[in-house]
Amino acid sequence: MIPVSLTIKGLYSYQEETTIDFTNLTAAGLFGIFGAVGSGKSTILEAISFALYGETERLNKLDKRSYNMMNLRSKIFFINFIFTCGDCDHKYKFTVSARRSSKNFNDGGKIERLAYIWDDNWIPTSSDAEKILGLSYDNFKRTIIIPQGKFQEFLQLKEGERVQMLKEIFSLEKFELGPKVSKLSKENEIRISNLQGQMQSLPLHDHELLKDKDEQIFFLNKKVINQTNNFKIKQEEEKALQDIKGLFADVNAKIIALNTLQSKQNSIDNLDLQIKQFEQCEQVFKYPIENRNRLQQSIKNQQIETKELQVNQTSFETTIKTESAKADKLKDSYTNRELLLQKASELEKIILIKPLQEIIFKLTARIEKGSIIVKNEEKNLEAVKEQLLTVKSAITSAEQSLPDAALLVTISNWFNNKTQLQTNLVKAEQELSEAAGRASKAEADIKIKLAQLPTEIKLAGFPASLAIVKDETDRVNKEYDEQLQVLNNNQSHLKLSQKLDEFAKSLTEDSECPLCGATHHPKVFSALSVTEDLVQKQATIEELNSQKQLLNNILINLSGIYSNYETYSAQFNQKQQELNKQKNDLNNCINSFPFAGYSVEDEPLVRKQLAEIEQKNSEIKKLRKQRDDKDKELDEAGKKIATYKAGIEKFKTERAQHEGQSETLKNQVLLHVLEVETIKPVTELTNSASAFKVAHVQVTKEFEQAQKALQDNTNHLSALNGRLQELQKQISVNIDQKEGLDKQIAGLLAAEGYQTEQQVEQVLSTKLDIKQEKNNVEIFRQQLHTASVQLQEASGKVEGKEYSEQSHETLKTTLAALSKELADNTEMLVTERYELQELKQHMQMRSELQKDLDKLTVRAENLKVLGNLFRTGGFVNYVSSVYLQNLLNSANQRFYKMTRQKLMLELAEDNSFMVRDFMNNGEVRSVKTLSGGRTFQAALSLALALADNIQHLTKSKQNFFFLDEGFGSLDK
Amino acid sequence: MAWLQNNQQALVEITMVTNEFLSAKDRKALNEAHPAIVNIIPEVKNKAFVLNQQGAIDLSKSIEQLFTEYFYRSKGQKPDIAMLELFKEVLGTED
Repeated sequence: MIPVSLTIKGLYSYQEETTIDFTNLTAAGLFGIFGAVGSGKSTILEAISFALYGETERLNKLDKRSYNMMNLRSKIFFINFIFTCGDCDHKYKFTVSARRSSKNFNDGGKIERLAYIWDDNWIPTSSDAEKILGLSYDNFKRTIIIPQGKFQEFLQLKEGERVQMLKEIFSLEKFELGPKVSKLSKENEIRISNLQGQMQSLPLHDHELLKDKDEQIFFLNKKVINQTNNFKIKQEEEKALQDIKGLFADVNAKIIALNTLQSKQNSIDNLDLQIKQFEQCEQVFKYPIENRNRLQQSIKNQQIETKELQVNQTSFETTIKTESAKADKLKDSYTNRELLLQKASELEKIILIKPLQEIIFKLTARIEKGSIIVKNEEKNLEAVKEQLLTVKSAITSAEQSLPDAALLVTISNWFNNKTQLQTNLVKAEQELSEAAGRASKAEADIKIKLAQLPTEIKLAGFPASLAIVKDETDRVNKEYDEQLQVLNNNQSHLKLSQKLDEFAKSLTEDSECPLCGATHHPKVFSALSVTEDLVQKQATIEELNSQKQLLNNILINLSGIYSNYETYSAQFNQKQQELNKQKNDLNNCINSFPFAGYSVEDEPLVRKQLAEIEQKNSEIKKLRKQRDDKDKELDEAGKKIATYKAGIEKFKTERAQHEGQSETLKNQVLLHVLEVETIKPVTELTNSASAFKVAHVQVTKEFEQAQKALQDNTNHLSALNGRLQELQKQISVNIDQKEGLDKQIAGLLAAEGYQTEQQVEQVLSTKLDIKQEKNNVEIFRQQLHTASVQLQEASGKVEGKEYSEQSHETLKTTLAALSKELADNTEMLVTERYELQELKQHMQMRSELQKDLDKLTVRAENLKVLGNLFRTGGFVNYVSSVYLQNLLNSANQRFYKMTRQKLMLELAEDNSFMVRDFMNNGEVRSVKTLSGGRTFQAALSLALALADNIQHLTKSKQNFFFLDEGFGSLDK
Repeated sequence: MAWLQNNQQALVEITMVTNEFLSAKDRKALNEAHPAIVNIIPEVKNKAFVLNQQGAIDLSKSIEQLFTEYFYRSKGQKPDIAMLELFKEVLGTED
């Protein structure tokens, strides 16, 4: 894993958003993060771990992480960690966020952790960092980001934990084969049991048994062959008898069938005769009789129609005469009908002229009225123009009387500035006074403390700085130390004298002096009592120490007070300078008053003039408003006059148009007297026009109807005359044809031997399905012929042959007995053969099963061996020790150099870490005996070796390793 | 040793090339011979004690090889073909 960037906000001490770009840092190969205690160094690592795994070293899941991890002044916290990993340097982003509840401060909200992978844009992916990095959280802490206090963990892990860790990192679970062997063993045992079960039901191989079976089958087979041959002979004899029996039965059946057909012969012959008679009559008489009858009917119908037409002819002739008279009567009215339409049209025009005359009258009145209004408005406009000139003149005179407003405003600003400077001066004086008070108080405090100093401290006047006091106190302290040194020496001397005195007092004559060995003691040392001196010296020492302590305490107090004093003094000086500056500024301001005609004392005058300007401005503003109003009024009056004039012109145009229309219409009235008609009301005129129109329509309609009826009836009469002539011709022709046919029928009756036409009609009226009946007759004759021929054939086949029913039955019984015996023996043979085959198969099967059983037994033995080898993770431990040994070799590359070839890591029998000491006969000892620094070197070498190998495992191009205060816990 | 005695004022770092490991006695003798020995670097010639230079973990070793080695260490002989085949079958078995 190579970190790219980390963004943190609201996490622990990171209130504001902070982004760390690792790109340049990791490119440098080695980098460090430095900062004061509590500045958030470990938070960086914790943020990475939390983003990746949702786990943190400081807080467990029950510790309300969202609340406790969130900065107390933040409402949200989030982590955004981007990194690359894997052989293709896939880029991942892990984000964590939580939002504090707005209602409950203690509720840090739900933590949301998401992951993305970069593929042109961020695509959501699984947030399982263990899958992405190939490391569990625990191993991540041991190999990539090692938290505080965890650095030695791998070095000091117990064997089981270390094996577990190596199993997880290097996926050594695949070497945990015990369960698989156990599974295979169980399957093998089941298969053995299964085989044994199968073999129990199978016979052992028996050669004698097989031989007996073969002989038995041979004899049985021979017997079946003989019986089969005998059966076939008898079967053929029986078949011959069965055939003869069938032939005789066939002859009898055919005789019966022939007899049945012959019994129907007479009735069929009669039917045949009847059919032939019908067909002959139909052929000879049917057409002439039907034609004659049709002609007869036609003549009858034509005669009826002739009579009806003659009646209609008389009726039409009468109607035509009546209608001709009516048309002659309507002809004059019809010829003059257009005058009616013209009268109606002229009345309609008079109706149109009447409203036009009214409109013209109204328009004339409005034009006259509008002209009067325009004159009045023009007078009003002149009056407003005069008022406007008056207001403009007033504005001009007011503006000319205004003083110089810009100058007055500038002077006013100068006075404002002066007032501000005066206010600042007062404020500066007040602040100076306060600063002086604080400095005086601090000085008084210093004086009180100085008065508490020992009398040895000699200070001339009030010391201006703490350094002077410190120099003096250092001098006195030094004197105290010298005095203490002297006193301590004296005290030691006194204590020695006291001891010697005690020793001398214990000496007796003739006893050996332990110092010089003399037995004679002529001048024994004698010291005066020193106890009192010792007590006095001790009291002096304590007093001096007390004085020193007092001195130090006062000095500490003075340090604080002097600090305040210096601050306040500095503030006083600063305020003094500010006051001076304010005074100078004010003086400069007053001395540089630049306005001619005014003095520094003229502030009230300036204010008064400004007020006057304001008042005059107000008046001018009012006048300007009046001017604007008059301008507006003038404008509106002009617009109004223009509008009125335009209206009058419009009315005049309309009046001219209507007058033109009226004159045109009047010129078109010819048949009426206009003066008379215009007096009449419009309703009367409208009714008269409508009456003329109706009369025109009625005359036209009646005349045209009469003409049309006359024409129609004339046409009908003409057609009717034509039809009468045609009918009379047809009747004459049909009568001639009918007489010819009557003669032809009489000749045919005589030729065919019929007396009357009724006899023929009787024959033809017979109801027979001639086609069906003819078919029945034909079928019968064919059946009769076929039966005769078949009977002859069957009789020929049995000629010279005999059949005995008894002999046939006897033969059948014999054949059935033979068949049963043969079937029994055949079944017995098949059974014997099957049993033999099955026996052989079972014996073969048992033999093969035995071979399988032998193999499985060997397999069981081998599985047992493997099971013992893999029991309790033996193989995993072995592989783990191999990996561990290799890991140690890798770690020693660094550790051996770090220790300047003095130490090397080794692996003990129990896989615990040992160290070989090249400086002590190459002896081996536990890593626990290493010093703190050496332990760090060993742990660092191991951690780097692990990181190297994880890089190799994850196929990453680079490796990354974060160590949080590796030295911090070495000497625990 | 003579050089050490003749150069008592120098700060010294010695690389001791020996056949066997240095003993405490050897170190004591060196330190007594000179008061300012800063560092003694032992270099043992005997190859048995020299750092194994094959530092990287050999992850290329197959599981069959590891099993053969483990079998040999446990049983004192190499596994036969049947055993190796059975081992491969065990590897291919699903839990």
